[in-house]
Amino acid sequence: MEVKECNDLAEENQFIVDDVSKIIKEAIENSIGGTAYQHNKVNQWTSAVVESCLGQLTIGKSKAYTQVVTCTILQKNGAGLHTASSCFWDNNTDGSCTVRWENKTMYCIVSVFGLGI
Amino acid sequence: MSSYVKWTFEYTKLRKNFGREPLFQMVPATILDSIYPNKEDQKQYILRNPVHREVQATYSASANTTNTPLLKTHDQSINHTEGGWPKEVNPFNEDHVQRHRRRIMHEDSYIQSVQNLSPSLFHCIDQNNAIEMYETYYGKMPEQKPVEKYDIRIANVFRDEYQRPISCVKWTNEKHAKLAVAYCFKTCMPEPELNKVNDCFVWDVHRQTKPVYILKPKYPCWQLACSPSTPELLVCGLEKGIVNLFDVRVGEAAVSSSSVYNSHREGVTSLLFIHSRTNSEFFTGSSDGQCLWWDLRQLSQPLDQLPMSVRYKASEEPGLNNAEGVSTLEFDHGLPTKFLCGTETGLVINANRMGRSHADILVSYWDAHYGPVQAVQRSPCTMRMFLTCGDYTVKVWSEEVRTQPIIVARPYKNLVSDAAWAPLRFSSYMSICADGVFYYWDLLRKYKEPVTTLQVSKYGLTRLTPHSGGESVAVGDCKGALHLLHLAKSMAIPGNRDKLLMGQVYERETKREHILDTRVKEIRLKARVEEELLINEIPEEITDVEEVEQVAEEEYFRIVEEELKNVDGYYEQEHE
Repeated sequence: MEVKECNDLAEENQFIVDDVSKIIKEAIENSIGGTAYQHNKVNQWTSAVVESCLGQLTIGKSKAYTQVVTCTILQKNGAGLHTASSCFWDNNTDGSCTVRWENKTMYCIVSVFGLGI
Repeated sequence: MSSYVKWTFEYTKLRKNFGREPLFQMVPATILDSIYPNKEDQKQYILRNPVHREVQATYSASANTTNTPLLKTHDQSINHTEGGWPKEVNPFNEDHVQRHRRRIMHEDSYIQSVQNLSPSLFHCIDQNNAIEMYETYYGKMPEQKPVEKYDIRIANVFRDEYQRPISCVKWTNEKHAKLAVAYCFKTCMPEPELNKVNDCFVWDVHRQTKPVYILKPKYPCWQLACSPSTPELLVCGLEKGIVNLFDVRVGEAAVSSSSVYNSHREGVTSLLFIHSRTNSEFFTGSSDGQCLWWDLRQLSQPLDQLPMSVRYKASEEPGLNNAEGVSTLEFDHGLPTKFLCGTETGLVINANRMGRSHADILVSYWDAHYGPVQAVQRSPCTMRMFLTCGDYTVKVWSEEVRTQPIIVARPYKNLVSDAAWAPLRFSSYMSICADGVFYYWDLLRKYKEPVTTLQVSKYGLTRLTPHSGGESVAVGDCKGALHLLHLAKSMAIPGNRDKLLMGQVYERETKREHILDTRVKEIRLKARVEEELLINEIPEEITDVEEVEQVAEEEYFRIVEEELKNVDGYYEQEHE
């Protein structure tokens, strides 16, 4: 059994915002894509987005991160939305990434918090 | 070497990376995202009012708690069932039960078993006496009037794919009774051949899509009967005059058959099981004018034969050449040696098999109908009363009154094809007509008209068979549809005093007929005496031809008037 020895742990451990936002965008495109807003589908979409994000984030990484993913879906009917967060963490290892995605009928806001152990 | 598996797992981490003190610091609140209200988008939506759909993304749930006072319960059970009766005894039929009791009491082992059972029975009685079992709990409540609803419901319809008329319907004698139905065109003409398929069906009451069993006799089946002890055995009386025995456990084809040489010469018009120890004997009637007695176990030879001849000259011997064609038979288990026979000439013959000579066997007859008698049935109330139907009427007769029926209803508009007493309700009978209407009569409620009627089918009805439980009635029509009617409880179950009241009605009507009969006889006698006197006094009377004509004319119009009165309602309606 070959085991990859994780010597370059320090680099791996870092939270790379670009990679994460790419993963999130892919997840949203795959699960929502161009479909129109449908009230009764929202539950299904949010859970699909969240689960596929988490799955992608934990693949290929040593599981040294605590991951928190939230997803908000908003119908594009002209209403405003403001969301904020505040953290108490280690700036060297921890990070967060928020992606706003929209199609014709809705907004989808996904934020990921990666917390090193 | 390949089988060697390295099972240790090395996990290396630089010293500088582990056990490091975490350097937590406060990150001030940052706006993650802001979407500003958009007037353009808002304009694309309008407020829906009223809203008729609930909007909730998650499943709604609610929780509620209450405190209820604790109710202490305990289990206790009483089982009241009546059972153990043999199959041929219907526990709801008083006569059957009485007869069965009487037979048991005559057996030798009866005293022994009573002696054995009495200690345990006395124990139970003592127990019951300790509890006040007959305490009335609701004695002070005001009594409510019973509601009588005359409600008939068509519960199920079983259709024949070949649309043949139904010739016979019988209920099998089992707990979940099935319906055995024979279909055929009863015709004497050889051309055109109407009966292409001769199948008879046995239907489950709850399944109208497909019959449970199919019987395939070789000739059209006119009559069916189910064995009272083994419901799987069915006997068919065929157009050819022979009888076939079917066992549904064996297959579709007949198990045994009688021979053409010693069976009836014409179609079997009636087939009934009689009272016997083995429950295997039955008798058949046919248009050729004879009754034959058979045993299921040996169909090759009839047990007995009887020509139904009652009207023959003194010089003739009773035989098939002067016999009356049998159209229907009636046998009641209460009178094992007697039976009634309706003939195609409209007579009802009272027969007693115990008689020694032919005249003793066919004791008497009633001139009941114009045309064949369609049905004869003894009343469940009193054995001496019976019902006949034929032409346009249904009549109730008494065995004691020879001349006239005791109860007659107004004639129907259409031919009456079948009639039967309600099996448990003593005062009621049912009849069906050729226009597809079902009539339900209750002699204690309405004497002159039916209590309720129902248009069952748009085609003529042919057969009517009530189930012995009283609530279900099977009615067949001439397009192969068998309708299962469900009667309301008040139409199936008798009132407490119904038997008594019906007995009184019967007595009253019988007495009335007797009085009328004697009165008619008196008048006739008087007339004859006067006539004789006149003849003696004036031996020769010159009668005027005109006068005679006038008298005859008056007589004719009087008869016409009377006949018109008899069918009054219908004629007037048609003239208007």
